Amino acid sequence: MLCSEVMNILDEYLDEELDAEQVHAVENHADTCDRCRRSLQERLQLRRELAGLPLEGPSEGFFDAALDRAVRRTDERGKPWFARIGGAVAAAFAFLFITGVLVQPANLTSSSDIPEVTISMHEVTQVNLMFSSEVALHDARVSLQLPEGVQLAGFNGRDTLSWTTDLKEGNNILQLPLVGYLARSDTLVATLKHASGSKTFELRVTVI
Amino acid sequence: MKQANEAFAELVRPHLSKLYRLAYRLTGSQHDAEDLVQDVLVKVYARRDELTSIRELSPWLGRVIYNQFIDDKRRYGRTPLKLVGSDADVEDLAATANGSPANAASLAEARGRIIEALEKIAEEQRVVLVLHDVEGYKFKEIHELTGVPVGTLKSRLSRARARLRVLLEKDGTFSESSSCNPLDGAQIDAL
Repeated sequence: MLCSEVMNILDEYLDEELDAEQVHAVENHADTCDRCRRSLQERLQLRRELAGLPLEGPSEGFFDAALDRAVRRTDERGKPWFARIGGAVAAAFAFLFITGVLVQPANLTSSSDIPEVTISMHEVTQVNLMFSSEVALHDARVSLQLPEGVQLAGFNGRDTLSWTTDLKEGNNILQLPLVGYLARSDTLVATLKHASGSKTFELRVTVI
Repeated sequence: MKQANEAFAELVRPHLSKLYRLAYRLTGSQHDAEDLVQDVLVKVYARRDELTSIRELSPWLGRVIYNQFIDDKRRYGRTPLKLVGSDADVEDLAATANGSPANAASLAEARGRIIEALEKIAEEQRVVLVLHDVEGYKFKEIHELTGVPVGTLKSRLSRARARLRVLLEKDGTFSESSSCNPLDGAQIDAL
């Protein structure tokens, strides 16, 4: 068998797809041909390295959180997500009231009493923020700055998130599935911006 | 509703690790793999009543993952494959390299170059290569997953391997000589 013929069927040899006669021919040739033997060894080594390529596993608690989100997203389809109320899943609540503030752009301070929630490490905790507005607001911009060691389930690696939404008149509930990774206490900052003004709120999050 | 949710979770949970693994190999990153699995779970939950009648759920779920990946490649394929660097990986690498730090470093470097090279291979070829040579899928399983005929898969795999070797030869990771002298073989055959 010629070198070129051997090279053409080396992969099939490694895949164990050759018949006995071909296997015998390849092995006989490789025994006496340094180049083809080296090629065979290198392809074999490449196969081993491919089979050993690392895989980064899912983030902690991902499967549980993903199943939970799949159920919630489907069951709540059709509802404006900003207006969903946690109900049975609510484990902790923080209430942020913005009554009247958005029509007063100069007033950017929040209450001196920062609400607090405590969440468990590596577990998804639903924290519901309630925003109350005197009037309906369209195209309000919501931004979240997450504290160090806290992530929003499903948004791993993101410490800031922003999106545009509508606020209805009255209470609006924002569900945050928070996951803690560091045992510490720090501040989550939520900002609401609208053509009529903006407002920043703080929530103390303690991870235990 | 709660019982329905629990039944869904019980049915799907045993397959999640395998689904995530497939999603990771298709997308190349934890972030995109999690997005892909999440999107599929949302889709599958909406069809949860059908699940109990599916005889082999694992391959069925695999097909849903693959189809979702193909439908929205631009979204899931945006993150290049990367070599992960957790302590566990380093330990695994050191074990593979017989505990030698130098060997482990060399192996990590080689793997990094392989991963970079994989990114340069046409996607339809890369998918077959990754599923067959990295994950160990049989052609029949890849056919069931992708719907692509086995003959076409074999052809794609052959081209993918050849392309990978060329790319690795360029950076010195792989040094197979394509100019193997036919006369050597002729002489040997004559012996």
